[in-house]
Amino acid sequence: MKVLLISNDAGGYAHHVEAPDNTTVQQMFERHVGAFHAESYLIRVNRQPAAADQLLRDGDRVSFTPQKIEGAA
Amino acid sequence: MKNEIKQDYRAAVEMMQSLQHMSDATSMSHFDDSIEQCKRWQRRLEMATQRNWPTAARDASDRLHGALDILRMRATHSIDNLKRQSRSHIEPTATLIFQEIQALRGEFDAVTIERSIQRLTVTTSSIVLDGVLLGSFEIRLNWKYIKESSPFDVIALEPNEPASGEGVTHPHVQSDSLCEGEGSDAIRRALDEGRLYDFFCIVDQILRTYNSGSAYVQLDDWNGVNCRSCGDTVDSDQALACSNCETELCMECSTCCDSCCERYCEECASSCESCGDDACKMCLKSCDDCGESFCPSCLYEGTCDDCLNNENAENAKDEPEQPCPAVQPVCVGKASVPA
Repeated sequence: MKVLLISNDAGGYAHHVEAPDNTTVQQMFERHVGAFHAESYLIRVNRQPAAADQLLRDGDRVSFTPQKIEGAA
Repeated sequence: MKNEIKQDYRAAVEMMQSLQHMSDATSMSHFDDSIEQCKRWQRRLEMATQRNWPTAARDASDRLHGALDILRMRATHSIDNLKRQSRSHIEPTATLIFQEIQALRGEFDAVTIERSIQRLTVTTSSIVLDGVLLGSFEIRLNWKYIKESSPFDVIALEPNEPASGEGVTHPHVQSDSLCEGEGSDAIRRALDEGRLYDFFCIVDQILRTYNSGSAYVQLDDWNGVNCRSCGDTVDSDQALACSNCETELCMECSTCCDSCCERYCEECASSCESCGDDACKMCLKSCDDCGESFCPSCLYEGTCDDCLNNENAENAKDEPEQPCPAVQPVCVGKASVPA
């Protein structure tokens, strides 16, 4: 299946990735972003809050936005 | 509801048009204008130099310098645009933007669209950082300028400004402008791709994060008072107000009047010309004779000690001399007695 993966960390990116069927949100994160810390990110599937063990489906839009993004002066 | 959906879709179409208005052609024509300006001032400079007109040459040189600066900025901008285009990215569509707007309505307290001024506004929930209540904010995206840098404003709805920072409503917001910090690239990318939902979420998360290493005003100083004399921030319970003009000061910058024991700012306090004690301008009085300022203890019935002494000396001089009593000469009228 194909999923739109969006990371709003650092430079930010959004691209379509291939994923095996029954991939969970957590597996997607670990595969493409890094060690999974659910409490550190706003996780959204199709712009709705999602749990770590939610199964992804073909065409889903998954986004990870850090809870801490430091502004400056 | 139906009207809201219709309005959201129309706004999405307009935003899409703004995003498509990449204006590469426009920016290249600006680039051409800049080159022409440089050539023009270069010709003027050469002409002025050949004719030995130093003032005109200096003026042309300054203007050439300015034109080259503008050219450099536009070149940098064009390079940035090229870089942005060459990155892999999602092509925004009106449908995608419409879905983004719909999702915003579920994520934020309030979402407002003002098509007449091409503005999409979301309202955050109340924000508290390190115990300092900053209230909720409006994030206003001006989609007409969506391709430009920082096309959005951040407005505090219940501003809790620190005393020491004018226009600061958040450690990272000054004059309604957010310093994006490490969120800068992600914001730019989200806007370029029409991912408005991500854009607003990123800005919201920046507002909920405190970076003590780079803040307009540190949260530790938020509830402090800025000393109007030295500029230092002091806790509000340690600040002192001038008893006359109410200017807020730190302890070091306030002066205690030795006469009334109240504290004053530099403007409202001075010192006695005689004893040198600190005194406020209300306690200091002018000597009726010399006009200098003295504390109450150095004035006697409106006159200072020096003037009193001078007066006494003058008085003494003016008094007529008393005739000396006659003194009998030694031995007068006495006869010597033989031993």
